[in-house]
Amino acid sequence: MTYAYEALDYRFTVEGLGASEPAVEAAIGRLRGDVSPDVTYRLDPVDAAWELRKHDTVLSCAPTVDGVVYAMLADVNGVAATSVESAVAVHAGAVVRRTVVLVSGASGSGKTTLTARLVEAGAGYLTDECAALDTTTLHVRPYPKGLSVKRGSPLFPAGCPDDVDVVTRDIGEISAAAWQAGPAPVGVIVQPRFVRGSASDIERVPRAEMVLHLSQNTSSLAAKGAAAVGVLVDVVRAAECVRVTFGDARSAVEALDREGLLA
Amino acid sequence: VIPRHAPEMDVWELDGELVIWHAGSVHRLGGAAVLLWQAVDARTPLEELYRRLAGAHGLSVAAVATDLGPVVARLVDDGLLVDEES
Repeated sequence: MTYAYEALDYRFTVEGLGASEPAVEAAIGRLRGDVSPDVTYRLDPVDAAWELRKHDTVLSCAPTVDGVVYAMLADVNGVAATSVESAVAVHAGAVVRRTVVLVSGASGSGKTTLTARLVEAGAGYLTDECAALDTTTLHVRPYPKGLSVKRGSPLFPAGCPDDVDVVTRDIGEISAAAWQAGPAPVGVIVQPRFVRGSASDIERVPRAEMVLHLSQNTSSLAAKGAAAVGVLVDVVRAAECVRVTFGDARSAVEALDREGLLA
Repeated sequence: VIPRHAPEMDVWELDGELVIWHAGSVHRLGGAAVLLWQAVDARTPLEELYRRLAGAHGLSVAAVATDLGPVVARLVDDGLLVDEES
């Protein structure tokens, strides 16, 4: 089987879907498109491992299908973030309550877990990885890829083989109530900070500091220059900016709600 | 030393702080750095700027120079301020 997909403005197909199809579906099933693309990924079992090709180049080999799907998703994320047109791509999760709650943090900060728990609490899903801020409307465009979940995360499925360190899960697997949101403006920007065992604590972040933080998590900043910074400034100017320290993401969602940030 | 703002910068004000884009980097200025930044006019020597800020805020010139010296050094290092005379 072969399907076409759209990751923001990046269009591609995946060939050779067979045994790999469930993992591929969990990763990018919500990105299905119908536009003829010119980039092709192919996943094949080779000996006792899996191989990922992009056109004719081997991108990755891994002992499990999850490994090559993760590698494919990493490549898709990178190209989608750097090639998106008319938008500034920020490394952040995004969900929609009344407006968008942007969750921007480095790997290990709890970004994906907090994003998932917000969806579990009723928010619409936009992305867990790349928030594309439209340069005209300042709305966040949907990029509803599967969530990349690392071992140790509360979202990591029980019973996974020991040699699997990361899996990709569709948001619907994590929350049956999940719904996919459309473009929306940003109302709250959250900088997550996971600290094992910590109670949830919310502190305001100066807007200029948040612009600096977002700029450090924007892949196309050098190419797009001052115009991209201007977009970040305009988005931050209209948003509440907070840092959330937490040991339990569900409790962090409750704390955000108590502060009126999810109204 | 007569400080002036480096050319080709974009500056935004957010809640009393400044965000500056210059030479491929984003900078954030807050507090006393903003006051200094706003006082720089490419004509006034640094010592005179210190005197004006000290007078405006009821501080000694020495105290202002002590506080702002490292700020000026950082702004020069970052390329945001240059010496008009150099």
